Amino acid sequence: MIGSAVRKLGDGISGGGRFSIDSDRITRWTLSAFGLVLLIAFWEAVTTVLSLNPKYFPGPMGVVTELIRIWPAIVAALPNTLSAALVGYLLALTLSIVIAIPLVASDRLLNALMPFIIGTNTVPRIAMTPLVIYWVSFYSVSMLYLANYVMAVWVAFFPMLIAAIDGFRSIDEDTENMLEVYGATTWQEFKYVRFKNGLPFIFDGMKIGFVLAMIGAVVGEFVSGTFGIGSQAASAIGRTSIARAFAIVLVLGLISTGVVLIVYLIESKMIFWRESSIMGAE
Amino acid sequence: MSALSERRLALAKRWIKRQFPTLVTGILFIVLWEGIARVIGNNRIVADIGYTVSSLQARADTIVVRVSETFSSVVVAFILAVALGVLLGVIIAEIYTLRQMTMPLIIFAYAVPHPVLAPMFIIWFLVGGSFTLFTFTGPSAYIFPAMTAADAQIAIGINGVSTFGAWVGFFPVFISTITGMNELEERYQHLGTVLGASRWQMVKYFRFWRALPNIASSIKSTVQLSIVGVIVAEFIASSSGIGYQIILAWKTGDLGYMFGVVLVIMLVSYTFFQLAVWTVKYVTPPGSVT
Repeated sequence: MIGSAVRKLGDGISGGGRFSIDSDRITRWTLSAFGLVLLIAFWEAVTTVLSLNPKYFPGPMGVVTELIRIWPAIVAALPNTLSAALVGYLLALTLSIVIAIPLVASDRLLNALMPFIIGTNTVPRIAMTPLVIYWVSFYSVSMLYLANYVMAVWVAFFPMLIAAIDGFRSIDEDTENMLEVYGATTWQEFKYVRFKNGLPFIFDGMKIGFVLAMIGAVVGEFVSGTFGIGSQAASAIGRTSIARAFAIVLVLGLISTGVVLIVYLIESKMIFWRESSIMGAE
Repeated sequence: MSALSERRLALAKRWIKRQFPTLVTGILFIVLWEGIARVIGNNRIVADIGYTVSSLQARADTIVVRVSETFSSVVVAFILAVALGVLLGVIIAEIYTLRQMTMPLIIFAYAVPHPVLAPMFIIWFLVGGSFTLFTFTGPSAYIFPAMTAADAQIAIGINGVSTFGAWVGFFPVFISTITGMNELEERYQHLGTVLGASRWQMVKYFRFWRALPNIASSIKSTVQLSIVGVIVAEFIASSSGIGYQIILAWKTGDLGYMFGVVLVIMLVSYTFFQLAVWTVKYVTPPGSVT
């Protein structure tokens, strides 16, 4: 009785006063665009009005000018970084799924290896960068850039593996009992239930995974100084040029936002039974 | 009395049982490491345990000083990240217009590979100078009799390294605050309306508490990410901290020291992580951390 009254009251109130969540797409896009314009205008205004030193606090115009100036250098460096990140990403993705399958299929294996996987995921893997570079340089100094590929795989692999394991294991008891009754083989279990159940998790892992692969490649370049976007960003410190650092952030940020968006679009097409979110879980 | 001690015993047994796989993994790791090192038999390719330990012992004082430097930055970064993440998350979740307006920026900041931002933080604090909140004598002065208090001094401050760590760790807290606040069940929303709760009271008594479990679990990622952020910033920026020590070991080709430092980082990070998770579990209502 009281419950229904409360519900009625609530129905009348929700959506009043401010935008409701269902307000149409156009409003949302307009707001987003307006926010972006406002931010840039505010930024420019602050730097002009306070007449800040453009070397340390550049306005948006300063950043764009610098971006145009160093554009050829960025274009020359991009393929190195991107190929390290992309190849590392795809390798880590394949490996994570291939390794997750036997782990999920055998409880004993999973129980034995899970502490190792969780432990490795907990510690800062990025701290291994100099060690990886050392080993690669020991093998061949001219192929030092290989360290960036290794780092991309090493950083991106574990979160994606955990996502894949979680995904393949997300199966409710009813389904499990049904599979048992039908006498499904492990392969049939995966084929009919687990792959599909795991997809949302795997996509979440894929979104964070690309950013992580990029991080691995960039930090590899920071440390080893091989030609790429990372070493260019690090060189901005020596010149204390914020505009340069910002221009590089802009380029890399747009690229990885683009990739995350693409993964998101594929996800929302493929996973029709669940609403996808653009930001994967960490 | 005896019931209580029995309960304690059972709890202790369960704890040991739970830690057992971790222990086995640790032992296996050590055996595997020593095995590989023995097979290769060259301390310049894979340092064996004895060599690593002796190089660590030779510079134990430096390591303790550097580790305490790094982890005091991590603590600052962590606190900044959680405080700012919750504060901004509450604001953004509460004001729908603002959320839509900042959405492109949030997605961009989430997707950008954060290490590439480190130079900006470092340059700003290089130019503007950093604030030191307070300094204290680090633990190394008590461990090593030869070390003076001045050498062991640790500064807790806001600088390029700790702010960058905070930036990296900020996102999980920020995003789970928003998600959690927006997941308030309809019935509580209605209850609030019936009770005549103002917007602020809605946040204070309902929405924040709905978000708390999300925040508490995101703190796990934040701990890891602030450590990553601080170490990456130390790689490229400073001449302090344990991150710089690995670079130094790499530049001098001292593999034993490099192994040792990496191992120390992993061990200290793992302990720090467990400590932080335990603290969060202790201060939040039961069931918040899964």
